[in-house]
Amino acid sequence: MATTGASDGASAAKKEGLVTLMSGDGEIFEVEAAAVAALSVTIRHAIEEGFGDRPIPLPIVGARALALAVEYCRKHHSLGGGAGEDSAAYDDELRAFDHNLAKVDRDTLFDLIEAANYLEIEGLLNLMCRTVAEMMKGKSVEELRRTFDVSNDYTPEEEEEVRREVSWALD
Amino acid sequence: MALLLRKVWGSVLTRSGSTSSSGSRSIRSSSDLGEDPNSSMGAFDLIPTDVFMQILRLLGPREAARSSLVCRAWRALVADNRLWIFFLQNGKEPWDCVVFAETHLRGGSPYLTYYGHTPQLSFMRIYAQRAVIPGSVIVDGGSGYCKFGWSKYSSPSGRSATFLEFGNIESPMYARLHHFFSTIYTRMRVKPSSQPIIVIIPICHCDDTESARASRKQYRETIYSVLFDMNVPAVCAIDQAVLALYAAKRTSGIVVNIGFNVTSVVPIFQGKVMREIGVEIVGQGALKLTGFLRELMQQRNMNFESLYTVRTIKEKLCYVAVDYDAELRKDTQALCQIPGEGLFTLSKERFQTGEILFQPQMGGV
Repeated sequence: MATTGASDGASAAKKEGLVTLMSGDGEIFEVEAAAVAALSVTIRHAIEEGFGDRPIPLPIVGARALALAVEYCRKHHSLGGGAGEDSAAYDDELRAFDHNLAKVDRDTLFDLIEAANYLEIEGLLNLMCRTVAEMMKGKSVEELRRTFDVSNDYTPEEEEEVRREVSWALD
Repeated sequence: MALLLRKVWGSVLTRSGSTSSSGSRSIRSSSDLGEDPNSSMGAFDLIPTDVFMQILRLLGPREAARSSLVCRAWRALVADNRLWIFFLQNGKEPWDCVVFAETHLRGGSPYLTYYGHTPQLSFMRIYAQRAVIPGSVIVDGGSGYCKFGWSKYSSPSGRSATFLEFGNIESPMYARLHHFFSTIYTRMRVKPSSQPIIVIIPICHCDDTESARASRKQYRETIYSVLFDMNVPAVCAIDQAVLALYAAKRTSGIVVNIGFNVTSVVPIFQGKVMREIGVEIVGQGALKLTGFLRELMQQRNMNFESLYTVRTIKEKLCYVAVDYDAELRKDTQALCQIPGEGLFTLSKERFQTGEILFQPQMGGV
């Protein structure tokens, strides 16, 4: 795991090749700059802009999601060199890693989407979007509402109207 | 024709508050519904809407459409034009054809082409209508060959030699046209009642006179009665030149149609043949070119059994020179092997043949 726990803050990030990330809830992560910069556009830009020797604040990314995102970057950096999943370097081990990562619960999934989007980790964002799409596929409208905590705010007439509009897509 | 187009394409003018609410019941536009700022997307409130949009893309059109039943906020998002443009762009039909059809042809009649304001298109509705649209049978009956096929394919599925088999189909003879269409339906193995049909009106009787108008009307009405008597659900009969222009994604222009017997020059404005301006018919077409090539080959003492051989050579070797005189000075020799006839070598005949379209005096016209 990437986390070193809440260490003694900013001054800890002086080791060679490391960069310090600070999650929205104040947790500090010391990670290999090369790995995260290769996968995350946001962090690459932050390092380029001279954030390398200070903790990079990631205000909207929670510690749990950040830990998972960092793990994703490490794994993909070391095994795939950050290559996309169409490339030959994307081997079975990475596939298995992705598969496992996608098994997180719904809330973590959405946190990870938010984190991947903010950190601009394209592969992770795609993976998580596909996972949500898979969760949605084949579900009835009622099941979709339950799965994603949505309440039906249609009046019966409105719902009937929408049903007519999308009748072509209903079996 | 306008009737069928309307039937097939439906009405596009969904929200523009247009005057022509051509029959179809107007449904409350999506802007009335679902843009309620208090409406929640549930768990999706946590993520940016463009990420939600990305998920909807992965879901595919049918499931995306279905998910608009979940709540108002989801519906507002699903209705986003960008999503449906994405689905249409990844569909089978070329995107530029979809855009042309929706913006220029959907009005039902070409005269309704809009200037000055683009109607607000709902691409979700467009997608939906295209998803349920039945395929059409298309019959392009030229005087030499009749091409027939399906709207869902980009090329005809078959053809027959019109005159040899059916005689002159450009005259309004019920029995002959009935035989013509029923033969095509049989060859396509399709029941006439199962699909709408698009059929071309050949370029003839094209003057702007009373009698030509009457002939055109009579021809059109004969086609309608033949096809409706065969229980075809809808008929769209359009001038050949207009359809050719539509294929080039235009509604106004000049069509030069080199046919089997004649070449026609047809001015068209907003889908209407401008007969008052004048349609030119020149009495030379593909047949004349083949005949001219035959003469050239005979002059060179080439031996061949049939005119089909000449036609095949024409189709394989002939072309139009950009600069005729310059082409004469080049080495343009080429070979063509015809099974049963042997090997033929052509040089300047290759572009002299087509040149009679531009210099009719060469062909003795």
